[in-house]
Amino acid sequence: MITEIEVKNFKTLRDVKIPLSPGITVMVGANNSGKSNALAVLKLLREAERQTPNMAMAALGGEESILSRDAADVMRVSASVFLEGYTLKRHLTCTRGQAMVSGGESPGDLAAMGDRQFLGRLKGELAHLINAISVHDLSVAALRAPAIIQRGAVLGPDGRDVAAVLDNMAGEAPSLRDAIDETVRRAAHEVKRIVTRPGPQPGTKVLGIEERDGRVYGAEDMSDGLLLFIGLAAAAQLKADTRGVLAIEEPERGIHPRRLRDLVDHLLLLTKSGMQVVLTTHSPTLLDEFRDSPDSVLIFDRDEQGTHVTRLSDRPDWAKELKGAPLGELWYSGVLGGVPGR
Amino acid sequence: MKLAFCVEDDTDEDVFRVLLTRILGTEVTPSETAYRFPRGGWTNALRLAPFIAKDAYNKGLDGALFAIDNDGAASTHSTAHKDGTEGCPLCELRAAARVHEPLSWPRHGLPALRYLFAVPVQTLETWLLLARGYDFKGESETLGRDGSGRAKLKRLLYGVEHPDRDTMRNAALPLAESLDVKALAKVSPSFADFLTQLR
Repeated sequence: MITEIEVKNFKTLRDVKIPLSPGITVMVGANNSGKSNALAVLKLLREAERQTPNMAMAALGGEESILSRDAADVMRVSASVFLEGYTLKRHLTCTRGQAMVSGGESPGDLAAMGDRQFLGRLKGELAHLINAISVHDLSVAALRAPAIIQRGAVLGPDGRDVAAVLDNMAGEAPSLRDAIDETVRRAAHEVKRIVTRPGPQPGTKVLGIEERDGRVYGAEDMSDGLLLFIGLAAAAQLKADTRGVLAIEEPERGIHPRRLRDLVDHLLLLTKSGMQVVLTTHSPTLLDEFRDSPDSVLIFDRDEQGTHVTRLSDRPDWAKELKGAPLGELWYSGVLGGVPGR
Repeated sequence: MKLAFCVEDDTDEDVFRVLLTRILGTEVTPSETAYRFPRGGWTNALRLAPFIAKDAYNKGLDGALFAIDNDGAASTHSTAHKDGTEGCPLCELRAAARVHEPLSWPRHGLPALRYLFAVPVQTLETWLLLARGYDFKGESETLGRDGSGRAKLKRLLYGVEHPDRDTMRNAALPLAESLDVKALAKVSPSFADFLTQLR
Protein backbone atom coordinates (compact mmCIF):
# COMPACT_ATOMS: atom_id res chain seq x y z
CA MET A 1 0.00 0.00 0.00
CA ILE A 2 1.30 3.46 -0.89
CA THR A 3 0.91 5.49 2.28
CA GLU A 4 2.36 8.82 1.23
CA ILE A 5 3.94 10.61 -1.66
CA GLU A 6 6.28 13.45 -0.93
CA VAL A 7 6.88 15.82 -3.81
CA LYS A 8 9.28 18.68 -4.33
CA ASN A 9 9.41 20.92 -7.38
CA PHE A 10 7.06 18.99 -9.61
CA LYS A 11 5.00 21.58 -11.48
CA THR A 12 2.90 23.37 -8.82
CA LEU A 13 3.74 20.72 -6.21
CA ARG A 14 6.76 22.49 -4.83
CA ASP A 15 6.82 20.98 -1.39
CA VAL A 16 3.88 18.80 -0.46
CA LYS A 17 3.07 15.54 1.23
CA ILE A 18 0.15 13.64 -0.21
CA PRO A 19 -1.16 11.00 2.19
CA LEU A 20 -3.07 8.16 0.57
CA SER A 21 -5.75 6.17 2.36
CA PRO A 22 -5.85 2.38 2.38
CA GLY A 23 -9.22 2.58 0.60
CA ILE A 24 -10.36 5.59 -1.39
CA THR A 25 -8.62 8.95 -1.38
CA VAL A 26 -10.62 11.83 -2.80
CA MET A 27 -8.97 15.09 -3.84
CA VAL A 28 -10.95 18.33 -4.04
CA GLY A 29 -9.80 21.79 -5.00
CA ALA A 30 -10.32 24.59 -7.45
CA ASN A 31 -9.40 24.17 -11.09
CA ASN A 32 -5.65 24.32 -11.58
CA SER A 33 -4.97 23.78 -7.88
CA GLY A 34 -2.68 20.79 -8.45
CA LYS A 35 -4.95 17.72 -8.23
CA SER A 36 -4.09 16.55 -11.73
CA ASN A 37 -0.42 17.16 -10.99
CA ALA A 38 -0.74 14.77 -8.06
CA LEU A 39 -2.06 12.12 -10.45
CA ALA A 40 0.75 12.95 -12.87
CA VAL A 41 3.21 12.16 -10.08
CA LEU A 42 1.66 8.70 -9.83
CA LYS A 43 2.09 8.30 -13.59
CA LEU A 44 5.71 9.42 -13.38
CA LEU A 45 6.47 6.91 -10.64
CA ARG A 46 4.95 4.14 -12.74
CA GLU A 47 6.73 5.16 -15.93
CA ALA A 48 10.04 5.35 -14.11
CA GLU A 49 9.43 1.76 -13.02
CA ARG A 50 8.72 0.65 -16.57
CA GLN A 51 11.45 2.53 -18.44
CA THR A 52 14.46 4.71 -17.75
CA PRO A 53 13.86 7.77 -15.57
CA ASN A 54 14.74 10.09 -18.46
CA MET A 55 12.27 8.32 -20.72
CA ALA A 56 9.66 8.54 -17.97
CA MET A 57 10.24 12.28 -17.73
CA ALA A 58 9.95 12.57 -21.49
CA ALA A 59 6.69 10.58 -21.45
CA LEU A 60 5.18 13.20 -19.18
CA GLY A 61 6.22 16.14 -21.30
CA GLY A 62 9.89 16.51 -20.45
CA GLU A 63 11.59 18.48 -17.75
CA GLU A 64 10.42 21.84 -19.09
CA SER A 65 6.86 20.72 -18.44
CA ILE A 66 7.52 18.87 -15.21
CA LEU A 67 9.97 20.92 -13.19
CA SER A 68 8.59 23.82 -11.19
CA ARG A 69 9.19 26.83 -13.36
CA ASP A 70 11.37 28.84 -11.04
CA ALA A 71 12.90 25.95 -9.15
CA ALA A 72 16.65 25.68 -9.30
CA ASP A 73 16.54 22.80 -6.85
CA VAL A 74 16.16 19.18 -7.70
CA MET A 75 12.76 17.67 -8.34
CA ARG A 76 12.17 14.81 -5.97
CA VAL A 77 9.33 12.36 -5.66
CA SER A 78 9.36 9.89 -2.76
CA ALA A 79 6.72 7.23 -2.42
CA SER A 80 6.41 5.52 0.95
CA VAL A 81 5.09 2.02 0.58
CA PHE A 82 3.97 -0.17 3.45
CA LEU A 83 4.59 -3.84 2.82
CA GLU A 84 4.43 -6.71 5.28
CA GLY A 85 5.06 -4.52 8.28
CA TYR A 86 7.85 -2.45 6.73
CA THR A 87 7.90 0.93 5.07
CA LEU A 88 9.96 1.07 1.92
CA LYS A 89 10.68 4.10 -0.20
CA ARG A 90 10.98 4.71 -3.88
CA HIS A 91 12.71 7.95 -4.82
CA LEU A 92 12.80 9.64 -8.17
CA THR A 93 15.01 12.66 -8.52
CA CYS A 94 15.63 14.93 -11.46
CA THR A 95 17.89 17.87 -11.98
CA ARG A 96 17.89 19.64 -15.30
CA GLY A 97 19.34 17.16 -17.73
CA GLN A 98 19.39 14.09 -15.55
CA ALA A 99 16.84 11.91 -13.81
CA MET A 100 17.43 8.91 -11.62
CA VAL A 101 15.51 6.41 -9.54
CA SER A 102 16.70 5.18 -6.20
CA GLY A 103 15.30 3.54 -3.12
CA GLY A 104 13.57 0.34 -2.42
CA GLU A 105 16.05 0.18 0.38
CA SER A 106 15.13 -1.56 3.56
CA PRO A 107 14.65 -0.05 6.94
CA GLY A 108 17.61 -0.44 9.22
CA ASP A 109 16.27 -3.32 11.29
CA LEU A 110 15.48 -5.37 8.24
CA ALA A 111 18.95 -4.83 6.81
CA ALA A 112 20.39 -5.85 10.15
CA MET A 113 18.49 -9.08 9.99
CA GLY A 114 20.38 -9.81 6.85
CA ASP A 115 17.45 -11.64 5.32
CA ARG A 116 18.33 -11.01 1.72
CA GLN A 117 15.65 -13.29 0.37
CA PHE A 118 12.90 -11.50 2.27
CA LEU A 119 14.33 -8.15 1.31
CA GLY A 120 14.47 -9.18 -2.33
CA ARG A 121 10.85 -10.24 -2.23
CA LEU A 122 9.81 -6.95 -0.67
CA LYS A 123 11.66 -5.03 -3.35
CA GLY A 124 9.94 -7.11 -5.98
CA GLU A 125 6.56 -6.35 -4.44
CA LEU A 126 7.42 -2.67 -4.31
CA ALA A 127 8.28 -2.65 -8.01
CA HIS A 128 5.12 -4.62 -8.80
CA LEU A 129 2.94 -2.25 -6.82
CA ILE A 130 4.30 0.87 -8.47
CA ASN A 131 4.20 -0.76 -11.88
CA ALA A 132 0.51 -1.50 -11.33
CA ILE A 133 -0.52 2.14 -10.92
CA SER A 134 -3.29 3.10 -13.37
CA VAL A 135 -4.34 6.68 -13.99
CA HIS A 136 -7.47 7.33 -16.03
CA ASP A 137 -8.92 10.49 -17.46
CA LEU A 138 -11.73 8.94 -19.47
CA SER A 139 -12.98 10.54 -22.66
CA VAL A 140 -16.24 9.82 -24.44
CA ALA A 141 -14.55 9.99 -27.85
CA ALA A 142 -11.96 7.41 -26.85
CA LEU A 143 -14.57 5.08 -25.36
CA ARG A 144 -16.65 5.36 -28.51
CA ALA A 145 -13.72 4.77 -30.87
CA PRO A 146 -13.26 1.40 -32.64
CA ALA A 147 -10.55 -0.78 -31.12
CA ILE A 148 -8.25 -3.15 -32.96
CA ILE A 149 -8.81 -6.62 -31.59
CA GLN A 150 -5.55 -8.05 -30.38
CA ARG A 151 -4.36 -10.18 -27.51
CA GLY A 152 -2.94 -8.20 -24.67
CA ALA A 153 -4.99 -5.09 -25.44
CA VAL A 154 -4.70 -2.59 -22.62
CA LEU A 155 -7.26 -0.04 -21.49
CA GLY A 156 -5.86 3.37 -22.39
CA PRO A 157 -5.73 6.20 -19.86
CA ASP A 158 -8.63 7.81 -21.72
CA GLY A 159 -10.57 4.56 -22.11
CA ARG A 160 -9.28 3.82 -25.59
CA ASP A 161 -9.47 0.16 -26.64
CA VAL A 162 -12.16 -0.64 -24.09
CA ALA A 163 -13.96 -2.78 -26.68
CA ALA A 164 -10.82 -4.86 -27.28
CA VAL A 165 -10.21 -5.27 -23.57
CA LEU A 166 -13.80 -6.39 -22.91
CA ASP A 167 -13.74 -8.67 -25.93
CA ASN A 168 -10.61 -10.41 -24.65
CA MET A 169 -12.03 -10.57 -21.17
CA ALA A 170 -15.11 -12.43 -22.37
CA GLY A 171 -12.88 -15.32 -23.37
CA GLU A 172 -10.07 -15.11 -20.85
CA ALA A 173 -11.74 -13.87 -17.68
CA PRO A 174 -15.51 -14.20 -18.04
CA SER A 175 -16.10 -13.66 -14.32
CA LEU A 176 -14.49 -10.20 -14.52
CA ARG A 177 -16.59 -9.42 -17.54
CA ASP A 178 -19.73 -10.58 -15.71
CA ALA A 179 -18.79 -8.35 -12.77
CA ILE A 180 -18.58 -5.34 -15.09
CA ASP A 181 -22.00 -6.18 -16.53
CA GLU A 182 -23.40 -6.45 -13.04
CA THR A 183 -21.92 -3.09 -11.99
CA VAL A 184 -23.35 -1.37 -15.05
CA ARG A 185 -26.74 -3.09 -14.61
CA ARG A 186 -26.95 -1.81 -11.07
CA ALA A 187 -26.55 1.76 -12.28
CA ALA A 188 -28.57 1.42 -15.49
CA HIS A 189 -31.39 -1.05 -14.97
CA GLU A 190 -32.35 -1.10 -18.62
CA VAL A 191 -29.02 -2.66 -19.58
CA LYS A 192 -28.88 -6.43 -19.86
CA ARG A 193 -25.22 -6.72 -20.78
CA ILE A 194 -22.34 -5.01 -22.48
CA VAL A 195 -21.53 -6.28 -25.96
CA THR A 196 -18.80 -5.68 -28.47
CA ARG A 197 -19.80 -5.32 -32.11
CA PRO A 198 -17.82 -5.37 -35.35
CA GLY A 199 -16.29 -1.97 -36.02
CA PRO A 200 -16.11 -0.06 -39.28
CA GLN A 201 -12.80 -1.60 -40.28
CA PRO A 202 -11.99 -5.32 -40.40
CA GLY A 203 -10.41 -6.50 -37.17
CA THR A 204 -11.94 -3.74 -35.09
CA LYS A 205 -14.76 -3.72 -32.60
CA VAL A 206 -16.82 -1.07 -30.90
CA LEU A 207 -18.58 -1.04 -27.58
CA GLY A 208 -22.30 -1.66 -27.40
CA ILE A 209 -25.06 -2.64 -25.02
CA GLU A 210 -27.94 -5.04 -25.15
CA GLU A 211 -30.97 -3.80 -23.32
CA ARG A 212 -33.47 -5.94 -21.45
CA ASP A 213 -35.91 -5.79 -24.33
CA GLY A 214 -33.30 -7.36 -26.61
CA ARG A 215 -32.42 -4.24 -28.52
CA VAL A 216 -28.74 -3.70 -29.16
CA TYR A 217 -27.14 -0.28 -29.44
CA GLY A 218 -23.67 0.59 -30.65
CA ALA A 219 -21.40 3.10 -28.95
CA GLU A 220 -22.51 5.83 -31.34
CA ASP A 221 -26.07 5.52 -30.01
CA MET A 222 -25.18 5.21 -26.33
CA SER A 223 -25.33 8.15 -23.96
CA ASP A 224 -22.08 9.78 -22.90
CA GLY A 225 -22.85 9.03 -19.28
CA LEU A 226 -23.38 5.32 -19.89
CA LEU A 227 -20.15 5.11 -21.90
CA LEU A 228 -18.26 6.80 -19.11
CA PHE A 229 -19.81 4.54 -16.50
CA ILE A 230 -18.80 1.46 -18.49
CA GLY A 231 -15.29 2.90 -18.80
CA LEU A 232 -15.14 3.41 -15.03
CA ALA A 233 -16.49 -0.04 -14.30
CA ALA A 234 -13.96 -1.63 -16.67
CA ALA A 235 -11.05 0.37 -15.27
CA ALA A 236 -12.02 -0.57 -11.73
CA GLN A 237 -12.65 -4.25 -12.46
CA LEU A 238 -9.30 -4.59 -14.21
CA LYS A 239 -7.68 -3.70 -10.89
CA ALA A 240 -9.82 -6.09 -8.86
CA ASP A 241 -7.84 -8.48 -6.72
CA THR A 242 -4.68 -6.43 -7.17
CA ARG A 243 -2.92 -4.23 -4.69
CA GLY A 244 -2.27 -1.50 -7.21
CA VAL A 245 -3.49 2.07 -7.29
CA LEU A 246 -6.36 3.10 -9.52
CA ALA A 247 -6.56 6.87 -10.01
CA ILE A 248 -9.48 8.46 -11.83
CA GLU A 249 -9.93 12.08 -12.84
CA GLU A 250 -13.40 13.43 -12.09
CA PRO A 251 -15.38 10.20 -12.21
CA GLU A 252 -18.61 12.16 -11.79
CA ARG A 253 -18.52 13.43 -15.38
CA GLY A 254 -21.69 12.50 -17.22
CA ILE A 255 -23.04 10.48 -14.34
CA HIS A 256 -26.29 11.22 -12.54
CA PRO A 257 -25.59 12.27 -8.93
CA ARG A 258 -27.69 9.41 -7.58
CA ARG A 259 -25.55 6.93 -9.50
CA LEU A 260 -22.39 8.19 -7.85
CA ARG A 261 -23.32 6.20 -4.77
CA ASP A 262 -23.26 3.01 -6.87
CA LEU A 263 -19.85 3.95 -8.17
CA VAL A 264 -18.42 4.61 -4.73
CA ASP A 265 -19.97 1.39 -3.40
CA HIS A 266 -18.35 -0.56 -6.21
CA LEU A 267 -14.96 1.03 -5.67
CA LEU A 268 -15.18 0.43 -1.93
CA LEU A 269 -15.89 -3.21 -2.56
CA LEU A 270 -12.83 -3.51 -4.74
CA THR A 271 -10.61 -1.82 -2.17
CA LYS A 272 -11.30 -4.68 0.24
CA SER A 273 -8.88 -6.80 -1.77
CA GLY A 274 -6.12 -4.24 -1.24
CA MET A 275 -6.62 -1.98 -4.23
CA GLN A 276 -6.22 1.73 -3.52
CA VAL A 277 -8.36 4.27 -5.31
CA VAL A 278 -7.54 7.93 -5.83
CA LEU A 279 -10.23 10.22 -7.19
CA THR A 280 -10.26 13.89 -8.09
CA THR A 281 -13.63 15.57 -8.04
CA HIS A 282 -15.52 18.81 -8.33
CA SER A 283 -18.75 17.22 -7.19
CA PRO A 284 -20.16 18.12 -3.75
CA THR A 285 -22.43 15.08 -4.13
CA LEU A 286 -19.48 12.73 -4.55
CA LEU A 287 -17.67 14.42 -1.68
CA ASP A 288 -20.69 13.87 0.56
CA GLU A 289 -20.05 10.14 0.28
CA PHE A 290 -16.90 10.69 2.36
CA ARG A 291 -18.37 12.69 5.21
CA ASP A 292 -17.56 9.90 7.65
CA SER A 293 -14.04 9.34 6.27
CA PRO A 294 -12.15 12.59 6.82
CA ASP A 295 -8.87 10.68 6.48
CA SER A 296 -9.82 10.08 2.86
CA VAL A 297 -10.38 13.68 1.86
CA LEU A 298 -7.52 15.86 0.65
CA ILE A 299 -8.10 19.55 0.03
CA PHE A 300 -5.91 21.23 -2.57
CA ASP A 301 -5.25 24.96 -2.42
CA ARG A 302 -2.83 26.95 -4.48
CA ASP A 303 -1.13 30.28 -3.90
CA GLU A 304 2.08 31.91 -5.07
CA GLN A 305 4.06 29.32 -3.11
CA GLY A 306 2.45 26.53 -5.07
CA THR A 307 0.00 23.82 -4.09
CA HIS A 308 -0.87 23.05 -0.48
CA VAL A 309 -2.52 19.79 0.50
CA THR A 310 -4.52 19.42 3.71
CA ARG A 311 -6.12 16.22 4.89
CA LEU A 312 -9.58 16.98 6.23
CA SER A 313 -8.98 15.00 9.41
CA ASP A 314 -5.83 17.05 10.06
CA ARG A 315 -7.74 20.32 10.23
CA PRO A 316 -7.75 21.45 13.85
CA ASP A 317 -11.41 22.43 13.63
CA TRP A 318 -12.66 19.21 12.02
CA ALA A 319 -13.31 17.08 15.08
CA LYS A 320 -14.77 19.82 17.25
CA GLU A 321 -16.46 22.26 14.96
CA LEU A 322 -17.08 20.79 11.54
CA LYS A 323 -17.78 17.14 12.15
CA GLY A 324 -21.26 16.18 11.07
CA ALA A 325 -21.57 19.13 8.74
CA PRO A 326 -22.81 18.59 5.21
CA LEU A 327 -19.40 18.00 3.66
CA GLY A 328 -20.15 18.81 0.03
CA GLU A 329 -21.93 22.05 0.91
CA LEU A 330 -19.26 22.96 3.42
CA TRP A 331 -16.59 22.60 0.74
CA TYR A 332 -18.68 24.63 -1.72
CA SER A 333 -19.14 27.38 0.86
CA GLY A 334 -15.38 27.95 1.12
CA VAL A 335 -15.03 27.04 4.79
CA LEU A 336 -12.80 24.07 3.97
CA GLY A 337 -10.73 25.88 1.34
CA GLY A 338 -10.24 24.26 -2.05
CA VAL A 339 -12.44 26.79 -3.83
CA PRO A 340 -11.65 29.27 -6.61
CA GLY A 341 -9.58 32.18 -5.38
CA ARG A 342 -10.08 35.86 -6.12
CA MET B 1 -12.64 46.49 7.33
CA LYS B 2 -12.38 42.94 6.09
CA LEU B 3 -15.59 40.95 5.92
CA ALA B 4 -16.74 37.49 5.00
CA PHE B 5 -19.48 37.90 2.43
CA CYS B 6 -21.69 34.85 2.71
CA VAL B 7 -23.81 35.21 -0.37
CA GLU B 8 -25.04 33.11 -3.27
CA ASP B 9 -23.33 34.93 -6.09
CA ASP B 10 -20.24 36.98 -6.91
CA THR B 11 -22.40 39.89 -8.00
CA ASP B 12 -24.20 39.97 -4.66
CA GLU B 13 -20.84 40.25 -2.93
CA ASP B 14 -19.82 43.13 -5.18
CA VAL B 15 -23.04 45.01 -4.51
CA PHE B 16 -22.95 44.49 -0.74
CA ARG B 17 -19.28 45.46 -0.59
CA VAL B 18 -19.99 48.74 -2.39
CA LEU B 19 -23.12 49.34 -0.29
CA LEU B 20 -21.25 48.80 2.97
CA THR B 21 -18.33 50.95 1.90
CA ARG B 22 -20.79 53.72 1.13
CA ILE B 23 -22.83 53.33 4.30
CA LEU B 24 -19.94 52.88 6.71
CA GLY B 25 -17.71 55.47 5.08
CA THR B 26 -14.72 53.14 5.23
CA GLU B 27 -13.22 50.82 2.66
CA VAL B 28 -14.72 47.36 3.00
CA THR B 29 -12.75 44.50 1.49
CA PRO B 30 -13.78 40.88 1.11
CA SER B 31 -11.98 38.03 2.87
CA GLU B 32 -9.41 36.02 0.91
CA THR B 33 -11.84 33.11 0.94
CA ALA B 34 -14.87 33.75 -1.24
CA TYR B 35 -17.64 32.24 0.87
CA ARG B 36 -20.70 31.14 -1.03
CA PHE B 37 -24.01 29.55 -0.18
CA PRO B 38 -24.85 26.84 -2.70
CA ARG B 39 -27.82 27.68 -4.88
CA GLY B 40 -30.76 26.16 -3.16
CA GLY B 41 -32.06 28.79 -0.85
CA TRP B 42 -32.79 28.77 2.80
CA THR B 43 -32.07 25.23 3.80
CA ASN B 44 -28.49 25.46 2.60
CA ALA B 45 -27.96 28.90 4.05
CA LEU B 46 -29.28 27.94 7.47
CA ARG B 47 -27.12 24.82 7.57
CA LEU B 48 -23.92 26.57 6.53
CA ALA B 49 -24.22 29.90 8.32
CA PRO B 50 -22.82 28.67 11.66
CA PHE B 51 -19.80 27.06 10.03
CA ILE B 52 -18.99 30.15 7.99
CA ALA B 53 -19.39 32.31 11.09
CA LYS B 54 -16.88 30.20 12.96
CA ASP B 55 -14.47 30.25 10.04
CA ALA B 56 -14.72 34.05 9.88
CA TYR B 57 -14.02 34.15 13.61
CA ASN B 58 -11.05 31.79 13.33
CA LYS B 59 -9.59 33.79 10.47
CA GLY B 60 -9.72 37.01 12.44
CA LEU B 61 -12.02 38.82 10.08
CA ASP B 62 -13.79 41.95 11.24
CA GLY B 63 -17.20 40.59 10.50
CA ALA B 64 -19.44 38.43 8.42
CA LEU B 65 -22.32 39.47 6.26
CA PHE B 66 -24.97 36.87 5.57
CA ALA B 67 -27.24 37.79 2.73
CA ILE B 68 -29.76 35.82 0.82
CA ASP B 69 -32.70 36.90 -1.23
CA ASN B 70 -36.04 36.36 0.39
CA ASP B 71 -37.41 34.88 -2.80
CA GLY B 72 -40.97 33.81 -2.42
CA ALA B 73 -41.31 34.26 1.31
CA ALA B 74 -44.41 36.04 2.46
CA SER B 75 -43.45 37.42 5.80
CA THR B 76 -41.19 40.37 6.37
CA HIS B 77 -39.01 41.11 9.31
CA SER B 78 -40.14 43.32 12.11
CA THR B 79 -37.87 44.95 14.65
CA ALA B 80 -40.27 43.59 17.27
CA HIS B 81 -39.25 40.06 16.38
CA LYS B 82 -37.10 38.18 18.79
CA ASP B 83 -34.22 36.24 17.31
CA GLY B 84 -35.43 32.95 15.98
CA THR B 85 -38.98 34.08 15.28
CA GLU B 86 -40.32 31.17 13.34
CA GLY B 87 -41.24 31.91 9.76
CA CYS B 88 -39.19 35.10 9.58
CA PRO B 89 -36.24 34.43 7.27
CA LEU B 90 -34.07 37.15 8.76
CA CYS B 91 -34.61 35.91 12.30
CA GLU B 92 -33.99 32.33 11.29
CA LEU B 93 -30.75 33.23 9.51
CA ARG B 94 -29.62 35.23 12.52
CA ALA B 95 -30.38 32.37 14.84
CA ALA B 96 -28.58 29.89 12.62
CA ALA B 97 -25.43 31.97 12.29
CA ARG B 98 -25.34 32.62 16.00
CA VAL B 99 -25.94 29.10 17.05
CA HIS B 100 -22.40 28.75 18.37
CA GLU B 101 -22.13 32.40 19.39
CA PRO B 102 -18.61 33.06 18.12
CA LEU B 103 -19.55 36.73 18.06
CA SER B 104 -19.27 36.84 21.80
CA TRP B 105 -15.99 34.96 21.98
CA PRO B 106 -12.98 37.09 22.88
CA ARG B 107 -10.28 37.55 20.30
CA HIS B 108 -6.79 38.63 21.22
CA GLY B 109 -6.19 42.10 19.89
CA LEU B 110 -9.42 42.14 17.96
CA PRO B 111 -12.90 43.39 18.72
CA ALA B 112 -15.70 40.85 18.72
CA LEU B 113 -16.75 39.52 15.36
CA ARG B 114 -19.32 41.81 13.81
CA TYR B 115 -22.37 40.21 12.29
CA LEU B 116 -24.52 41.67 9.57
CA PHE B 117 -27.61 40.15 8.06
CA ALA B 118 -29.50 41.08 4.96
CA VAL B 119 -32.59 39.52 3.53
CA PRO B 120 -33.79 41.84 0.80
CA VAL B 121 -37.52 41.65 0.24
CA GLN B 122 -38.07 40.25 -2.25
CA THR B 123 -34.64 40.37 -3.86
CA LEU B 124 -31.61 42.58 -3.97
CA GLU B 125 -32.99 43.87 -7.26
CA THR B 126 -35.87 45.46 -5.35
CA TRP B 127 -33.48 47.56 -3.27
CA LEU B 128 -31.60 48.71 -6.33
CA LEU B 129 -34.76 49.52 -8.26
CA LEU B 130 -36.07 51.52 -5.32
CA ALA B 131 -32.72 53.31 -5.20
CA ARG B 132 -33.12 54.14 -8.87
CA GLY B 133 -36.48 55.68 -8.07
CA TYR B 134 -38.67 53.03 -9.55
CA ASP B 135 -42.22 53.33 -8.31
CA PHE B 136 -43.48 49.87 -7.35
CA LYS B 137 -46.88 51.30 -6.47
CA GLY B 138 -46.90 49.34 -3.22
CA GLU B 139 -45.65 46.14 -4.81
CA SER B 140 -42.09 46.30 -3.56
CA GLU B 141 -42.74 43.94 -0.65
CA THR B 142 -44.62 41.43 -2.73
CA LEU B 143 -43.29 41.54 -6.27
CA GLY B 144 -40.91 38.64 -6.66
CA ARG B 145 -42.74 36.14 -4.53
CA ASP B 146 -43.19 34.01 -7.59
CA GLY B 147 -41.03 33.24 -10.59
CA SER B 148 -42.79 35.66 -12.90
CA GLY B 149 -42.37 38.50 -10.40
CA ARG B 150 -38.67 37.80 -10.05
CA ALA B 151 -38.32 37.72 -13.82
CA LYS B 152 -40.03 41.10 -13.95
CA LEU B 153 -37.58 42.51 -11.39
CA LYS B 154 -34.67 41.35 -13.52
CA ARG B 155 -36.19 42.80 -16.67
CA LEU B 156 -36.70 46.12 -14.93
CA LEU B 157 -33.19 46.36 -13.55
CA TYR B 158 -31.05 44.63 -16.15
CA GLY B 159 -33.24 44.80 -19.22
CA VAL B 160 -33.28 41.01 -19.61
CA GLU B 161 -34.63 38.09 -17.60
CA HIS B 162 -31.37 36.14 -17.61
CA PRO B 163 -28.54 38.64 -17.31
CA ASP B 164 -24.90 37.57 -17.34
CA ARG B 165 -22.72 38.77 -14.51
CA ASP B 166 -21.16 41.65 -16.41
CA THR B 167 -24.61 42.99 -17.25
CA MET B 168 -25.58 42.64 -13.59
CA ARG B 169 -22.48 44.41 -12.34
CA ASN B 170 -22.77 47.20 -14.91
CA ALA B 171 -26.36 47.87 -13.85
CA ALA B 172 -26.04 47.30 -10.10
CA LEU B 173 -22.72 48.79 -9.06
CA PRO B 174 -23.33 52.39 -10.20
CA LEU B 175 -26.65 52.31 -8.31
CA ALA B 176 -24.97 50.99 -5.17
CA GLU B 177 -22.16 53.54 -5.42
CA SER B 178 -24.53 56.49 -5.64
CA LEU B 179 -27.16 55.17 -3.27
CA ASP B 180 -29.11 57.63 -1.13
CA VAL B 181 -29.06 55.58 2.06
CA LYS B 182 -31.68 57.51 3.97
CA ALA B 183 -34.10 57.67 1.07
CA LEU B 184 -33.88 53.92 0.49
CA ALA B 185 -34.37 53.18 4.18
CA LYS B 186 -37.60 55.18 4.06
CA VAL B 187 -39.11 53.15 1.26
CA SER B 188 -37.70 49.71 2.07
CA PRO B 189 -38.30 48.19 5.52
CA SER B 190 -35.82 45.40 4.82
CA PHE B 191 -33.11 47.92 3.92
CA ALA B 192 -33.99 49.99 6.98
CA ASP B 193 -33.53 46.91 9.12
CA PHE B 194 -30.20 46.21 7.46
CA LEU B 195 -29.15 49.75 8.23
CA THR B 196 -29.93 49.45 11.93
CA GLN B 197 -27.27 46.76 12.20
CA LEU B 198 -24.62 49.07 10.82
CA ARG B 199 -25.05 52.10 12.98
